[in-house]
Amino acid sequence: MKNKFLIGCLAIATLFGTQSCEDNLDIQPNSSLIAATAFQSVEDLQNALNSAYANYDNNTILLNSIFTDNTKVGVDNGGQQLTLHRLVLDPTTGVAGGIWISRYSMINKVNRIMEAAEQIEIPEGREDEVDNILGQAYALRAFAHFELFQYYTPDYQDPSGLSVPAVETVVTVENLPRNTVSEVYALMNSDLDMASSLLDSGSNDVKYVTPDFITALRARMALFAGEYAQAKGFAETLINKYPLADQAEYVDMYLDLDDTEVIFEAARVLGDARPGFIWHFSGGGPFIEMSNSLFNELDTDDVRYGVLLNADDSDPAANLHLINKYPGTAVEFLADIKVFRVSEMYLIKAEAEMRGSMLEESKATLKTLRDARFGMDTAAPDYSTLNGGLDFLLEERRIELAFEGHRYLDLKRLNRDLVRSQADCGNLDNACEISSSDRRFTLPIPLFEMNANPLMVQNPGY
Amino acid sequence: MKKRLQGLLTLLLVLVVQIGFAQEKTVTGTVVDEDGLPMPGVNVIEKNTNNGTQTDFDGNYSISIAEGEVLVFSYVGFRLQEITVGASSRIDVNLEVDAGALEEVVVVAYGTANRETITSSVSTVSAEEIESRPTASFAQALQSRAPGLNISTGNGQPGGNSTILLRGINSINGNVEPLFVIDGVPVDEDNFRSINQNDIESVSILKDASATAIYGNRATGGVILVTTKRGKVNEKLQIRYSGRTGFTFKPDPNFELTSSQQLLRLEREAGSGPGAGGGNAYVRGFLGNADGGALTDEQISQVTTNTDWTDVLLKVGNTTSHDLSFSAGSEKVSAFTSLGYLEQEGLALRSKLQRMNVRNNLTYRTDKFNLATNVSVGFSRSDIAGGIGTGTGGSGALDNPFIVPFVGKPYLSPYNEDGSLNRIGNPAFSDADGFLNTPYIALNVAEFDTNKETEIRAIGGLNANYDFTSKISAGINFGVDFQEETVKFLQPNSSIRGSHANDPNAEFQGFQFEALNRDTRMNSSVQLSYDDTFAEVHNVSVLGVSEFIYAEASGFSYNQTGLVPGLEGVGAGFVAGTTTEDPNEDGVDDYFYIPSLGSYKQNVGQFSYFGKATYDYDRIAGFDVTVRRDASSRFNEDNRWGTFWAVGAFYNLTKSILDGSNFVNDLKLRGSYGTTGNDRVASGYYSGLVIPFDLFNTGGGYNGSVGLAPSLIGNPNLKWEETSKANIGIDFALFNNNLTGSLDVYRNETTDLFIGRPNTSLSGGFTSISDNLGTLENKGIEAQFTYNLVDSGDFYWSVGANGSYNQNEITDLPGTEANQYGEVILDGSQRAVEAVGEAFNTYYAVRWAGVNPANGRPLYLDRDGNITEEYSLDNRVFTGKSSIPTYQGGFNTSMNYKGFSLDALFSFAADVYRYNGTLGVAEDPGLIGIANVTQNLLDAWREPGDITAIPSLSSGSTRNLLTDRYLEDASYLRLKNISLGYQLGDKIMDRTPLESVRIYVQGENLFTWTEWRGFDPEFDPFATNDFFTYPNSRIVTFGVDVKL
Repeated sequence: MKNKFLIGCLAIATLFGTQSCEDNLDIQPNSSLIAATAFQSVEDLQNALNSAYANYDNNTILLNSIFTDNTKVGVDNGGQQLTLHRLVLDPTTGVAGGIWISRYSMINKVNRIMEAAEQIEIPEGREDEVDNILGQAYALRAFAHFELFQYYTPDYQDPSGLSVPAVETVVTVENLPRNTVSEVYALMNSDLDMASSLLDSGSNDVKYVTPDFITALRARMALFAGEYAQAKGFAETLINKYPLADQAEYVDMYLDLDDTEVIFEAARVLGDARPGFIWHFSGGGPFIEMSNSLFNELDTDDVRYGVLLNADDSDPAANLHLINKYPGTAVEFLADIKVFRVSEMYLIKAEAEMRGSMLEESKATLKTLRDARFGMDTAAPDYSTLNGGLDFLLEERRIELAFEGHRYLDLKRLNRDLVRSQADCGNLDNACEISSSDRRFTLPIPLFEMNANPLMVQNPGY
Repeated sequence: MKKRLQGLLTLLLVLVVQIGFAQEKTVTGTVVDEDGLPMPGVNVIEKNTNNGTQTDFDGNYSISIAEGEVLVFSYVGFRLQEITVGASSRIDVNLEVDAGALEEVVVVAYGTANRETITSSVSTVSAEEIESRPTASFAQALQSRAPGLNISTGNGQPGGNSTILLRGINSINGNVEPLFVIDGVPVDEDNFRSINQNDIESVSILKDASATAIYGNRATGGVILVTTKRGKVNEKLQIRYSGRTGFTFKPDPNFELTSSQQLLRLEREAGSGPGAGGGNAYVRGFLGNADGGALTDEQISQVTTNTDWTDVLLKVGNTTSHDLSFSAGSEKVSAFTSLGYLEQEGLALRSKLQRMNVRNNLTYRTDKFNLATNVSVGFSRSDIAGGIGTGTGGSGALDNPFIVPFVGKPYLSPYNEDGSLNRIGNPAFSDADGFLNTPYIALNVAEFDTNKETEIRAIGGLNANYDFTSKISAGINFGVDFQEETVKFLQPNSSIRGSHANDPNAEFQGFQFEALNRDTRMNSSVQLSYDDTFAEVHNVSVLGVSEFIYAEASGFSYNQTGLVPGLEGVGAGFVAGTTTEDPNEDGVDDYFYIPSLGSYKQNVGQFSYFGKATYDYDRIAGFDVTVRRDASSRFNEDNRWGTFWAVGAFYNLTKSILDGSNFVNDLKLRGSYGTTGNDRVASGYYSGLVIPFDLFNTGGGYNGSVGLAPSLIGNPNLKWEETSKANIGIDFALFNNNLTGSLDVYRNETTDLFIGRPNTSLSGGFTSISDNLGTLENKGIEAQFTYNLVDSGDFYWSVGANGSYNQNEITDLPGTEANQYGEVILDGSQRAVEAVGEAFNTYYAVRWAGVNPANGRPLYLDRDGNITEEYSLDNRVFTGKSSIPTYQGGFNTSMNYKGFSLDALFSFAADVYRYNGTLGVAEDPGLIGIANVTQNLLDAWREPGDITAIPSLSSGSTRNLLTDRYLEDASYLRLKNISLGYQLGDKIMDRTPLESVRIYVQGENLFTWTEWRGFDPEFDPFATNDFFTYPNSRIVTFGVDVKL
């Protein structure tokens, strides 16, 4: 009907010089919602929350594997990720911008949910539902801030040192400065308190925020803040609740068939970016492989040997080491990303014990974990100093948490150099080593933010 | 204002009705040349009106005209004559040769005008310069034919789009191409593959404000008016056939790759790839080294395969065309009908265009009433070569045939043992798609996969005009440009890509995508005009028009993964989305075949009214004024209306103070100033329609749910870009009219540039917000001339040249912070940037300083010019080099001797640069082992003291660094077209029923002189990094033109 009218306009209206056609110039977007009508209902809040979860992307796994000693260039590489693998990191590096954007987008979305929840009319009887949405929103805001904190803060334990902007409002065009470490922690802590009070205490779906998610996050936060006693406490809470997976369960976990030790996993369904594509082409050809140095750490009795290495397609004798984590079950390379597992809590607890001069307790903690992975009684770890203990711990963390987004942060937090073997850095003289004091252990503030925001200060050395 | 105009129109209509009709009669006559031979095709026009006709084949014309009015007879290359109609009904005319160029009638906005009284800068291209060219898109044939017109084709796919720039780039993000109008119908400027260039009678290129302001907010990039051929009054049936056949072949590569032996030694030295015992076993199998281990010298010397992959991947293509046209006219009705067929194969396998056209142009004319219709329908089918990308900058896809010549290993054989072409390579599932298999993937995709675009394009127009009196007439105009395109992309189960299309665990593989896109653009206008002459010397005309434009694009598409073998390509072969499988036997159904669907609709509207008034004093001096008011649906109501205007004036020196002697035959000064707009601020016709709005969309859910997220932070205050254009020009005819030409100087300034204002990423990733900020300027000089060197009956020789100098500078970018060096750069992350004080797309790079002889590492210059080993983005400086040429143009020569003719057209571009990312790949030591490399790498640094331009093999890749290492001069001089023809003599023709026969052979792009190290220096000026682009072909054709 409208079209007929338009054609009528074409034919007649201009002939008489009238302006009725001008009405047809009011063309509204027809493929998007306009802001005024976007939030109307509780369902809209839930949909927005779904979008916020979706901002948890694969960038941290990518950085922690390709930019470290856990990988080497793969046999089918046609230039993919070579620059990053060769340890080139500057304010234009994609992954440095990607982590920043995705986490701040998550923060922006949850802030919009909090704002919209004030504005929409909540039907009677659905207040708890809204509270549960808000509880998740607050927890995600803390989680996103903590991830930003981990990558963009030069010194984790300097309370007045520069960290990242702590954002509590819906930012559209306002420029914000960087906050200090203590200010970021203050917001994260208050957000987690809010989340605990709002969240449905019975929620236990590991693909969403639960009370245990909050505890696990608090354990990690305490570890980075150097509050080891606190960290130990949070870790033990979870250790008491979640058993370690046995060997079969461990294998099944990465096939998404078992959740025994999973505290939180980011769901990956068909259509999402598949974690395995960080290193492989579709079809399976690897452009990035596991490094020789990581492979050499693996014991064939250890269940993690087969979880980390795709033994069927690899040929270690010919320097071919395909990464097997997230092989996918129904769909190639598609699996939920394990974000918090109870084994990490054992490692946090062990480190806290070492730091608290309880070396023997830490050995017992580590042995418990290793026994589960080897499926048998293993020799107790052997170290006698804190530093020796941390070396052992770092090695264990490297294997247990490989390709889950920890290696780069572990080296940074523990002040260790990044050293690749010659076989892994491909005889290239600039890709083999980064000292622990190198600027590249803190990500640069992305160039697009530096360009837009005069209040932003770049990290040292960039 | 609106109300007032409405009132005015009503008043005029009322006046019109009351004015009596002057006495009209039919005047007939014959037009002959100096030798008394009848002249067909002479324009016979009632002065200052649209009333006109052309002489027929016998030089006869017939026109209805009132006594006392003036008839103007004009023909290109002849002196114009004006005759006042007296009592006699017969006026015979003798036209004199060598008329000055100024006296030709040219098509201008909303009518025609005599070049004598034009105040603006207008170039024309005639049918002869276009019609026999083998280019599949007529825009390509315009290249180097008019000063200031820069046409670059960065995609050699037959019918591929060209980037068309007139007087430089007038927008950073908006549309920069001219408005194309075919017979009064505005058309899509990005797609001419379905249009038959043999239908074109003339092309007018309107440049300055006086010529273009009447097109308002669509005219910033200039306007190109295309007029198609029409039948002539009282013309007997003319039949014309032209046929061409020939072939396309590859250009010279301009780089040298390593041989098998050289490459294997390099691989061994670098410790990577089969030469070093690496790579996969299949590839090593070609070397008889399946077990691994570095090759020995003896093993290397035994390798006999040395494949030049260009020979395998690129082909000699065929090109054929047939055109048949009929043209005839009676006293009232004349018609032109044409049929065309073109088939052109590109260089790459599977790359082809087929086109069929039909056109019918009909003219009906009575004393008072003129009706002209044009309908053309084109059907084209393009087979697109695999992986070539969209045409701007190429593609790194492994099935791109133009990647293979650079990376395909020479020691791989393209043949199976039985001698047949190997289209599979490594059959292992995980390797078939891998990098080492690149040449086989390209061959496989070309052979088995499909990428077709089928298009129907119909352009139709109707123009009706009624003369109320000899002075006042009213007209209406309708036009439609309709395009319907279907895209079909198919990867069957049997192809490498198809066999990997679905999850490897799924039973059925194969992939099919189809889309249907429909684009309809309609325009309608009504106009009222008044022409009069007072006291025989005061010529006045006034034109008022109101116009409505409405366009709508819509389409839908699907993706289907999972095809039943043998039924690929049709719906019957689709595995239903509800089909489940459970390959891992976990008891959970897996869905592998869920199709994805898409649908869209967009619309744009514009409403305008405008007017133009001209005055001249006896053709000696005059001026014109144009005003247009435009309302565009692209902006919010408050910013919708824009006013554009122009004034122009001319002064003819030879008709006033100078004596029109033999030395200076004609000399005219002209100048104009005014404004135009650009409402397509986001470039594409349907782009940026939502920019004023804050938007949310529903994508991006989690765990299989629906999401809701902000998708745009809009700017409700957005408006069109505005360009002010100043132009001063001179038209001349000297030395007995043997030297004709023009010279123009101009300055265009665009304000309110549409750019992204950098915005904090804490907004959720909206790192820029659209805004009207910034100013840029184009200043330039254009010249063209034609000189008749010899014209002595049997022998005719002329030369011509045109050239332009255009200096582009971004003068202001408010809202963008200066960096610590005081440089204001829009997006510093790009290789070529937009920065204040620099030209559009100026490369901003760390200067490469060669190789350190001590250690073989790359050296750079820091910001202060000191040599350093450290590469830092802080050391980037403006290079003063841009991807847009400063100088460009062409020159041509034309010779006729008895029946023979020789025509040549050269085109050139200078002061233009481009980053050679293609060569960067072929020279990347980090890719040794997986790709072929250039012979330059043989000269890599090896031991301290080596002086070389190539860093050590272990120094890593530099091609992706933002340096000027591969920033190359892409200036070129090209023999664009050369044609040798012979017109059969009268003695032969007298024995045939034919009127004339001409045979010719011609070559396109035969020779190119350039420093560029690659296939083709001609490229899309927006593609700042060459990456395996599809080069332009060389084309040689043989043709015949027959008239009956």
